Amino acid sequence: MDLATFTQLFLSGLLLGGIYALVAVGLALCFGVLGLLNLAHGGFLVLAGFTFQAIYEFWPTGILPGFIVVPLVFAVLGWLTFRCLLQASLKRSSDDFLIPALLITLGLAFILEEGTLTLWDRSMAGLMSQFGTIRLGQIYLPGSRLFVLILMLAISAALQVWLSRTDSGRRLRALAQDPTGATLVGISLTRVTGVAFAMATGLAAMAGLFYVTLFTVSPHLGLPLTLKALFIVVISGSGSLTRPLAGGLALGTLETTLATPFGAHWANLLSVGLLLAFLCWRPQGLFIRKASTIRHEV
Amino acid sequence: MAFFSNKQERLKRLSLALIPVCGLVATLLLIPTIWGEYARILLFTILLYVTMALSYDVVGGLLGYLYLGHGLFFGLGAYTTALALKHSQPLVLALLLAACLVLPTAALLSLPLFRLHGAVFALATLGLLLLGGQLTSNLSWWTGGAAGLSLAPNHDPMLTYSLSLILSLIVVGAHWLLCGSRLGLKLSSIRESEEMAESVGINCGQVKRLALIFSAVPAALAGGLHAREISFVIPAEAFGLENSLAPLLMCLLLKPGTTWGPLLGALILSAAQEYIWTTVPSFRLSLYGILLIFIGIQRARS
Repeated sequence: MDLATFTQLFLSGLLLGGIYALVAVGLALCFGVLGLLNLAHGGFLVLAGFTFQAIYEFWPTGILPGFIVVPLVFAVLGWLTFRCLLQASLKRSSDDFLIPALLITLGLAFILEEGTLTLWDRSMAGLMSQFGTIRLGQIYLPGSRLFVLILMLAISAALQVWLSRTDSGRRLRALAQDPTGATLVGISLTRVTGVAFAMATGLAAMAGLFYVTLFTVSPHLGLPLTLKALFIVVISGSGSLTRPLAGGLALGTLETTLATPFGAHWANLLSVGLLLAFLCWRPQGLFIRKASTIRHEV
Repeated sequence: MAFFSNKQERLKRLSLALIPVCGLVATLLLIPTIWGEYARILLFTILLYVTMALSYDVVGGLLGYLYLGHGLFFGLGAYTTALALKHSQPLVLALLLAACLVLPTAALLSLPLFRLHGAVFALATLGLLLLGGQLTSNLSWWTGGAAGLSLAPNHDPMLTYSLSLILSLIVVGAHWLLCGSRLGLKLSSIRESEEMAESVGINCGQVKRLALIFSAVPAALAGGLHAREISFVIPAEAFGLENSLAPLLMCLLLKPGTTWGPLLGALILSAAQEYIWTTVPSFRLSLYGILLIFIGIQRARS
């Protein structure tokens, strides 16, 4: 493999990793605050991708406003989902919250998958690239990829600023660090977790837009993608958002570079293989530490 | 109920139940000869579901884990049986091979798996299911890859049917005995509190390993019978998520940890599934979804 091919591969891997990272960050956001493993995350991503493609088909100039409107709509949808399905069980007891939430979101994932299938009645959605190609020496970089890469960086930066500088971000971090203390000083658990869930769903929708711009989405992509991102979250831990970001980027680049010599069907095994190996090595995971801090709340 | 009745009493009651059971077996064997192929396939499916639901219950109900790996053993059994049949072995030998393969696999897997708890356990078992499916489709020189493996047509459909009947009867009886046995009580006590169970001298690791084996072997046999029945195995179906979810739903729907709960659940759900398949086929996944949400909300409230 010469240098140009490697760079090209590395760049593609970085983009795939960027999507993984966005998905993983959304999951880590829910997970860090309320210890919720949201299996419907990828379902939202796919639905957003299909919606975006429909917008593009009927109204090609709507592509740029779509990048803002679709995630907002999905954030509202996520908030509604949280209020209707998950909040009641969260209020009850947070210790036993994980398992019911896992069942509920798994059910939701199925409904979303079948809903997307019935609404669109097709197995693929993708966009034609609009941005042309940029050539740097021997490396070709499609404009849409560059655009997505820049947007991803902007989003991660915005998220970091939100978490560290704004009041709602600080509330979220406070809840993640010490739920008892946070509730004692008057932070509302349900409101903040609702916001976190809405943000996460918005991020999933954003990742869906990127996915449909770079690759093609299919209704069956949701659950496998969620699982990949969950594996990243479990391995890298959810204490900060930088770790799932880095984990996602690493997995994407590794998968893409390994896919060339071994084939994509073997590279696909990487995430699950890593997860199982990790859990053999550290059965308590980085996960239980979070779950035990969450246990003390309410 | 399980607490008061001991093993001897259960055995006595089981022998009392022999007469109605014999009647049931006779009816079930007669039905296909009267109503034909459709009734046989329907009953065969229901019997497999009963087997899957009750074997799932050992880990998912009695032991109380959220367990998503049941489909792994179904798939392993299906592929082992299919490969043995492909090498022109008789069905019973092929099924025995499947059981012999799955038994040590389950015993080995239980070592790392049961060091995990709660959602991580669920995630790891789900990961194992995915890994099984992916590996099977990747090792294409051996398993036929993602396109699957076709077998010679099933020449003796009544044999698979009667074997599934025998299997489900054994599983129902064994599950019922297990509920009243010491092992069953140990399982329930681990579900209530593992630390307590450990402190009264229960060897939790060994008990859980036994539970996984008891749960895995019937699933493998069901997989093998299914492979013979449809004469075709494909990774996406043999290791499909539905093979884990259908038993989970059947088990958790009514009362996990009892014999009648998963049994009735299996009957209800397979009837509902048959109805939906024949009327609105595109609603199949959503049915699972709605039931999962329903069960999740129920569990959160209890």
